[in-house]
Amino acid sequence: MKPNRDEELRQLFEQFLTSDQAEAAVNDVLAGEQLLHEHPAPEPAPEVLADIKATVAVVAYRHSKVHKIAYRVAVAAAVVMILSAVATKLWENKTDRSRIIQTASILPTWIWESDDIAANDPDLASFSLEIEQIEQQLKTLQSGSHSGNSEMTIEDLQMELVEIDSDFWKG
Amino acid sequence: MVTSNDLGQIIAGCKRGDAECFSRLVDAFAGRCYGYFYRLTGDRNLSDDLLAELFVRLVEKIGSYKGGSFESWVFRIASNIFHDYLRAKLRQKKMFEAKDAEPETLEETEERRSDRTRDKIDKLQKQLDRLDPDTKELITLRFYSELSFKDIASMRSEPIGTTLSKLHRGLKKLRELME
Repeated sequence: MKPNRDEELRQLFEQFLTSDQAEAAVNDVLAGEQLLHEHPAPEPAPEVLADIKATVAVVAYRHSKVHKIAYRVAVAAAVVMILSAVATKLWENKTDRSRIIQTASILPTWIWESDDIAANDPDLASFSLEIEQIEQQLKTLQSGSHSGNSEMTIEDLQMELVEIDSDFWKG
Repeated sequence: MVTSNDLGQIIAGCKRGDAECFSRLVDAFAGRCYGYFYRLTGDRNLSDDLLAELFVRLVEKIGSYKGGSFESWVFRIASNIFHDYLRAKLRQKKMFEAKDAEPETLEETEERRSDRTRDKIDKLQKQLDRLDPDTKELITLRFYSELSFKDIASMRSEPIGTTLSKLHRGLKKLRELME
C-alpha cells in the first residue's frame, strides 16, 4: 500500500485551516492511516481468487458471445430495414405506375382530345344515329305523308325512344 | 502493483473480452477491494461474495469505462455493491419484522457469523466498527482505493472540505479508540 501524499494533504487543509491547524490535521490523518498500515486486512484466500477468475472467465465469454450475437442481430436488422425500405420504395413506384394506367382506362384520352365526342364514341354515334332516324320518322308521321296505322306507329316509336334512352344511360 | 501502462493494456484487453486480462485485473485489484469489503463488513465469507460480485460486475460494465481514474471507477462500483448489500439486508430485516416468522432472524445470523469470526477480527476492526458507518466507509475508501480527496469528494457528491473534515475527525477518533 503506497503512503498517501502528505504534501497534497497539507495544501488541501491550508485552504480551510490556518497553517498550524493544517499541520496538526495532517499529522492526525497520517497517524490514523498509519494504524491501518499496521493492522492490514486479511488477503483473499487463493482458492477464492481462483473461483473468481473462473467465474469471470465464464461471464466474460458469455458476455462477449452475447455481444457478438447482438452485433450480428443488429447487422441483420439493419439489412432487413434497408431491404424493406428499398422494397417499399420500389412498390410505391410500381403502384404509382399502375394508378396512372388505371386512371387512363377510366378516362380515355379521346375524351380530352376529341372536338366531337358524339362522333368519336362509337356507341354514342350509333345511338345518335338511331335517334336521328326516329326523329325523322316522327316528322314524317306528323306531316301526314306516312301511310298505315299512324297511332300504333307513333306509340312504337315512342317506346323505341324510351328503350334507347334507357340503354344509353345504362351504358 | 501494476503500472499505469500495464493497467492501460489490461483494460484494453478486458474490453476485447480477453480472459487473461480479466485474470490480471483480478490480481491487480482483488487485495485492495477485499480489504475494503472486509473493513466494511468484518466478515470474510461476505467479503468473498462481495468481491466475486464486484468482478462479475466489472466484466459486465468494462465497456462503459470511458477513461479517467480507473481506481475511481472500480471503487465506485465496489461502493455501489456494498450499498446494495446494505439495502438488501434492510429489506430482509423489514420482511422478517413484517412476517413475524423467525426461523432465524438477521440478528441471529449476524451473531452466529460474529461468533465464528470473532477471534479472527483484529483490534482495529473492532474500533472501526465503533465509528459511525459513513466515517468508517470514508476512511476505508480513502485507504484502500488510494484515491485523491478530489475524487473521493466527487464520488460522494459532497464538497472537498466536508470530506477532509470528516476524514480528519474520523481518523483522530480511531486513534483515540485504539490507545
